[in-house]
Amino acid sequence: MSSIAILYVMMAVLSAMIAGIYLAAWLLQREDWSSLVFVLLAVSLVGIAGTELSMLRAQTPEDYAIALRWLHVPVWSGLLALVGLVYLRLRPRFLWVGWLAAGLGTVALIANFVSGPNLNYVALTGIDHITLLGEPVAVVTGVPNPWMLTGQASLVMLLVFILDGGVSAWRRGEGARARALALALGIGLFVVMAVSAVQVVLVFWGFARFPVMLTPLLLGIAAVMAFELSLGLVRAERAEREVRRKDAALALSEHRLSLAAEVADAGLWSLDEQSGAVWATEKTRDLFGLAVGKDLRLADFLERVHRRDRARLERAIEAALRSDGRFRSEYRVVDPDDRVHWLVGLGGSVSEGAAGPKTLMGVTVDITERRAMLDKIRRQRARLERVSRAETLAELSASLAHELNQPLAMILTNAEAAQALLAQAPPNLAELREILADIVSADRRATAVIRHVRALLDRGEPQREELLLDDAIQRVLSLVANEIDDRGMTVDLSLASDLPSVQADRILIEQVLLNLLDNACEAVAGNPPGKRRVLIITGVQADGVLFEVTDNGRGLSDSERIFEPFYSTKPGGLGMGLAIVRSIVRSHGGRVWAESAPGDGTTVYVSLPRDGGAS
Amino acid sequence: MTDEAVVYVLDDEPEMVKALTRLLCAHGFQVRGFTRSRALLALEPGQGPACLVLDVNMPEIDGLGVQERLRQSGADLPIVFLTGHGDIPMSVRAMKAGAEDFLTKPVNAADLLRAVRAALHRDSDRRAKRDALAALQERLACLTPREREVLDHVITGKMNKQIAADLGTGEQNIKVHRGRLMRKMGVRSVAELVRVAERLGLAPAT
Repeated sequence: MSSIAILYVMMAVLSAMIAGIYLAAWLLQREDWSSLVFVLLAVSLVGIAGTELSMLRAQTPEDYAIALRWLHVPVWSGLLALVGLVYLRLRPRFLWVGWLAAGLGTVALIANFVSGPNLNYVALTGIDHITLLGEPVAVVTGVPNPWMLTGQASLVMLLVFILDGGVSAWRRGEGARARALALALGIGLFVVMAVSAVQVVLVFWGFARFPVMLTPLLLGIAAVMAFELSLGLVRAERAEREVRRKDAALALSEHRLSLAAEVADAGLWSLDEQSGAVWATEKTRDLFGLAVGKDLRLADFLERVHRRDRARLERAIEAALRSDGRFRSEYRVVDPDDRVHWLVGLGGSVSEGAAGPKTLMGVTVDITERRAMLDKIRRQRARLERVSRAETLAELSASLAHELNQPLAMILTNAEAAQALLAQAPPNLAELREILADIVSADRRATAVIRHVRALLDRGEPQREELLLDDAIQRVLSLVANEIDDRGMTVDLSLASDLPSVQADRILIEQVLLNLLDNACEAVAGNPPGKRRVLIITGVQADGVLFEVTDNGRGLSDSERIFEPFYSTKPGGLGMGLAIVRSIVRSHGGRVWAESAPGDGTTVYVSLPRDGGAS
Repeated sequence: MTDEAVVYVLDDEPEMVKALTRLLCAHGFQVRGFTRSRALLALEPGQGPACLVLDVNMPEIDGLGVQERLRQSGADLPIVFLTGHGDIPMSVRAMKAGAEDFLTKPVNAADLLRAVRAALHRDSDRRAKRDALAALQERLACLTPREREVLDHVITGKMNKQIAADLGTGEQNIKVHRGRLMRKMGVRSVAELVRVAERLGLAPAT
């Protein structure tokens, strides 16, 4: 075999190998389009090497013309590949230059097949053989085809595209390394293509008698591809090392996290919004009493949550997922032995991308003991407050009794003295006048005492605002929820859906509800557990709202007197609760009454006008 | 009631003192009202029967304190307590310390008058007894030592002869002393003498 043939075949084989490698790479990673571009480029090189070798060894002008015509097919595909490569790797600013180069190349390819024997010649006039590397190679003479200009223009456009790409990559300057690589690629491509273009122009326009030998030059392109390949290998190696390092760091961080979770006695978990799947540590499963090893979903966890906390927890999770926000919720779970545990879940949601699916992750800790302690403290405080309030009331009523007793005693004694004086004959009128004056002043004193006490007890005018009774009821219930639970009571609600708001003092109306609930709680305390029921009903009235608090307690014999101050049916009761209720309801222009029978429970009705009696 | 009977009223409220004074005056009592316990305690005890209407709740010294001080100073005045509210432990203490009555304000005139009358009655009784005893003691002091000696023997129930033997004198002599001491003591019989001696707390000779 001749040395030129060996050179061309080696070139073709090398290109084919590169094409094979890039094809394999593309098949493994299809989103990497540059691999496919390299495949196209390498295949084009194989085609160019083949057709060019035929040209060099052509014996007749006809052979040469046919080989030259087919040379243009791999040249065209190579051009497209180079435009693609420059676009993908160098990102030039002026894309239209690339489109123009590809377009002109395509026009040239069409002309190649429709105008004359090929793109370069209208007619071939003769063939010579000159000696190159000790071998005869074909050199032709002929009439140049003007359509050749389109092909060469496309080459010039490609050169501009490469130049633009190189400059753009340099300007972007994504790190010194990337800059150097872009520069090397740009300069390499540019030099190779510039030399090729010059050669083509010189040969085909008949300025030089020289065989067309693009293949050795295109070896540069193959070298670029090989270089890219080696870079890819290095990159892969480096990435793998990085991954291994990160794996180690990740393992360490995971270890730290699990240690922290273990020490804090916390369970870790994460919830995938899209699938509803939950990843959870063993501790988390333990806290919820869930079996180890089973695939878990959110519903599995919710099922364990106390029915009264379930909806609230779900809402908290949804809110955290919706707002990318923090998550915090305290809730009860019931373990298989029916014991109630308080848990707190803390976490936050993260999303992949702006609108991607979200993940809520966090920790869960058992706070049963902490809650119990807090509850105890709260109960003690509430008891203290109640005791001090009761004592204040007791003191108040004692001093009230004393303050009123003095003038009453004076009035009685004076009046009886007057009676005795009147029995005498003649009665001492001067003395009687004095006595009556003293009686009047004592009476005034008693009135002043009462006025003073009223001023002390009154909160002044109610501060009216738009009040939704439902809200007030919920607030009061949340206030006494623990007590209701502790006493083994159930409070049922039957709330009208279309209840209008009323003009009322929120704190005072809540005090009314609180006092009524308090009384109902006391009344049902004597019932066996499970039969301590209180019902709150709201309803619409012509000019306002009506609500009732019903208990199934021991009932009352006198449902009129219970609203009087200092009247109490409870041992140790002060008899102030319902008196306060009545005074508040009256200050709102409303009415309060009760229905009750001994042993048959009590219902207290409160009606409030919409305007709160402000008119 | 005797004209000299006095009802003292002590209450920290001047109006109350005034009203009580009026009521009691209208029913014919002589009343002296006080609003300060010190003024009452500084008072010289009078000659006639007296009693005290006393408010329990007072600043400075309360009713029970006044009662205590009166007893310490030897003024054995019957006390009718008035109180604002029926305080049972306090009334028990007051009654144990010798209170005449314990009334709750506002007090009915009838209740107050009954209590005051009873208190004065008791005081005049006590005074009468004390006066009688004082008279007997005066008589006893008039006896000569010899008559006193004979008296001590007579109340043991001994015969004249035995007394004469015990004292180493004649029976006739004892008879004279005995007649004289009976006259001086204002008694007619031995039995009466024995009763008087008992009231005077004399010990029979052994």
